[in-house]
Amino acid sequence: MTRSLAGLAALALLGVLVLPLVALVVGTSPSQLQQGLASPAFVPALALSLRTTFVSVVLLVLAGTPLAWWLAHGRGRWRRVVAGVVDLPIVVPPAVTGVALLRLLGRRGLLGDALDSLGIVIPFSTSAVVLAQVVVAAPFFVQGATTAFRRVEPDLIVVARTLGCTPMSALRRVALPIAMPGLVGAACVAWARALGEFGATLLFAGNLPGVTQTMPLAIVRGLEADVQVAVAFSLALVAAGAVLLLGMRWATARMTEHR
Amino acid sequence: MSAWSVELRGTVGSRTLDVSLRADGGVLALVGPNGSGKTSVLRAIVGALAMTHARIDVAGMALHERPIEARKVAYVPQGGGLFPHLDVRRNVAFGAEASRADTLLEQLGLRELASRAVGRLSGGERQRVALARALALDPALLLLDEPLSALDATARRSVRTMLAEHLRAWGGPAILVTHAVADVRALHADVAVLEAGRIVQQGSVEALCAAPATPFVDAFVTG
Repeated sequence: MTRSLAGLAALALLGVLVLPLVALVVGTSPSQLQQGLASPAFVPALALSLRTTFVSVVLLVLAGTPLAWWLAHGRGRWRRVVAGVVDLPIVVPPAVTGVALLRLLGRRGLLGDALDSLGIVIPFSTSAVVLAQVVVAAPFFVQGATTAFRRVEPDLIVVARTLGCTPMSALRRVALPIAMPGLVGAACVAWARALGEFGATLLFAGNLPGVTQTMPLAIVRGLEADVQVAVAFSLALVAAGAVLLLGMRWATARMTEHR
Repeated sequence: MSAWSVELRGTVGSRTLDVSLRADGGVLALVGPNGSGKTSVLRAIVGALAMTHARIDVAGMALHERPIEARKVAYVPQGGGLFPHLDVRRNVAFGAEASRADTLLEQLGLRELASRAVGRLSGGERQRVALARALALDPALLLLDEPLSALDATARRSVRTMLAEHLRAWGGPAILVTHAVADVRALHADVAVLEAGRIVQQGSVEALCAAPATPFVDAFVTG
């Protein structure tokens, strides 16, 4: 009895995960899809999404990798505090992150005057899109990368050092290759989160076609004008996510199969 | 035979380490109860553990003045510390030239396993590869942390014989952590006994048998 109830609950959860996607696909004819994708907003929005998420993930990997290494193997009581700070964007609603970014970097924000005097305007620009994505996706990359680095036994680094490695070359020759499947996975999850980012972007960057209108924002605009456009854009985004997920599975499987 | 001496003073966590060891070469077995600081001693000699005072002289070289990567102290941690992303040959060649690695693979009977992933090695094979990698460095001092624990009885005997044979053939100074007096006898090693961060006795098994300094030494030599 308990077992069948649990099975039913699991099945219901799977249904909630899969059925909306099925509805998205089933309810759209190829011609409707073609028509939706022919919308002039599609190519600029997709291009902007791909461009900004690429930059965001590169920035995250560059800054997040050393931070994750320190969180995994560093010493000191600040580690926990920093780990908590990194996780904050998960519990803070994206809309709040958007407002907070405005309060920091907007014209009347904390750093507004300083940025203004330097001639730098961030809100409602493509840079704002990238910044919003970096903030919301950061915990996903840093958490994943930290877990990946924890799998690197500290002894292996010591052994590498005794065999002639400097700290940097031990990181490059031992820690990074061992952690690589986890790092790639973390980067993919962060990319997916950045690709789907909506709330913080809308508030901090706005919804300007060609400048700040990423795919999720274009879907909302489409929904207001023509539902078919929104559906077609959604399908394109689902396809991008599926390709990403499959690519990640394939890449990490390849990296681990020889171990 | 290269004479060596080690002096270490410092704290590791809540434990004080105050160790002085010297030998004329050959193998020294470092024994002691769990938590007495044996692994810390090895890590401090390697240079991976900061001490307030560390002096490591091997064959007239002051190794403590060098960074870890230039000490030529080879370290085999528990379990071997093999790099899981590299095959056997690449592990052995990690800190050595390819020709030297090939010689060691040959000497330790590892040629057949050269292209095997280390995740698919048995416990005994892992220790063999770890020893080959350590010797490929042509170390001034070799440190082995419990190479014989976590092996079943058969593997333990064969690894012990392998170690005895190759350490004798190599002839350099080595410190080996163990829990069994049988290992010490098989390796013709002297013994240093570490208790609560201090060396309480050092000498041959016979000397320790004749006058055990502590109840632990007594229990150890009687096996």
